[in-house]
Amino acid sequence: MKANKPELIVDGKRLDGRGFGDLRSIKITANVLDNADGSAYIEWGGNKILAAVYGPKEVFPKHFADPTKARVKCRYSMAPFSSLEEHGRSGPNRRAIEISKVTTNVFENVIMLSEFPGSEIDVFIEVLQGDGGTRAAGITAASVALANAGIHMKDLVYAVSAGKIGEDIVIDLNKIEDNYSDCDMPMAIAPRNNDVLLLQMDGGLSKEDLKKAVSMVIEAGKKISSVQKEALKKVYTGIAEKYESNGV
Amino acid sequence: MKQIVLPGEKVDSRDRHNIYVEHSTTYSKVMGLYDKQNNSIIPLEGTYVPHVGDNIVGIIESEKNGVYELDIQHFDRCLLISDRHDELIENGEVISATIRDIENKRTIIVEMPRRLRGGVLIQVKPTKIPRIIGRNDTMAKMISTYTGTHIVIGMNGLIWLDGGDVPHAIEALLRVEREAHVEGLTNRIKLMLEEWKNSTKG
Repeated sequence: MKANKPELIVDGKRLDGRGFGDLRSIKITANVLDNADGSAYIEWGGNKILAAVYGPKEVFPKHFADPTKARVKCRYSMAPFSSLEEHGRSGPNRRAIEISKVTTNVFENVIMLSEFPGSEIDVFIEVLQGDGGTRAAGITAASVALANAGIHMKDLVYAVSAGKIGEDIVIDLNKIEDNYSDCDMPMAIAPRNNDVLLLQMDGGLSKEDLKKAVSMVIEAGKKISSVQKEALKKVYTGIAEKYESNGV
Repeated sequence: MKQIVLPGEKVDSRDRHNIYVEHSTTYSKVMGLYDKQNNSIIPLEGTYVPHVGDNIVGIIESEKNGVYELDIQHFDRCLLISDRHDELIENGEVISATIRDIENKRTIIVEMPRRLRGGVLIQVKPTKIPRIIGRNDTMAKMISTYTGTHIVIGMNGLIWLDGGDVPHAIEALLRVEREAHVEGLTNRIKLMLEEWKNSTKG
């Protein structure tokens, strides 16, 4: 427990006025980059993240090619100006390498790798502004970008973090809550049958707390999923509406 | 009525290229248009999946002992094995060819090369090619007759054009690509082409 810890819950409300199970506002726009095969931009609370997908394409360097399945390469990176502290220089650091790896593992489990043997799928997650829960927001955006690129996959993954402040289980922690909470647990879930693809934990939870946290994540996930689907459909319905209203 | 489906959505389709089965339930694996009447899914995005018999357009990249390597904007290697040693195709030339065989799912072998001299090469999304060709070639033929352009369409997404009103033909093709999923497209394109034709006359 850290010294001079701020009071995170006042009168049963969190610092930004949310209840324990409330998400921050989420806005996703798909197909924002012309050069990428698929892309998405997410604004999740204070997070602003751009995700781009390239592929399937030729593997580089060539000796990494696997003749039986595709190779997924994720790159998570935070812009040097994304945060108030720590990120003084650009390029991968210890934290970014770890997040890139766990993100790769998430998408290796949903992309149908055997359909594109000997190819490579690149996923880039670029955090422009970070405010807690960037890896969860990054995975949510990247999965929209993958669908936008037309990559064959089993499901549209979402991710969100749960945590514990004092005795209360809360969802979608922001930067301050993340720094001073007793536990922070990002989860990535495939909503089709609630397969858990990522579960990391910083801190500790009891068995009952964990069960409660997981059920809250799944409840919040329904909302995240619907935002993702809305964003993907809007790319196409936007063009269609233009003509239907004209009666042509 | 067509509706948009997303990866992981339950569908009732037998279109094995775009679905997968898990615990005897069928799910879509692409973002596509689902037609309930004939249970088909048309993908909206994605890479080209080669099939034997497809016509493709490519650029000759290199030659060694009568084996040409083609650039077809795809991650699979594409080879043309020529038995005519008297007639050499030079690097950088554009050809159209037919897929004879796909070896180990990795190497595409093409045959019957047709040289395409001069002209313009454009690239569109491979998933929109069936719409650009149209049912029984109607769409491509219509654009070709109105603009007087010779159009050769490769299933891999490369289109070669020559002669006639090339800029207008390209504009029409790109519009088909952009609006491929919106109903009533043929009429809109026809209207646009007729408008151009009348304006050039007057």
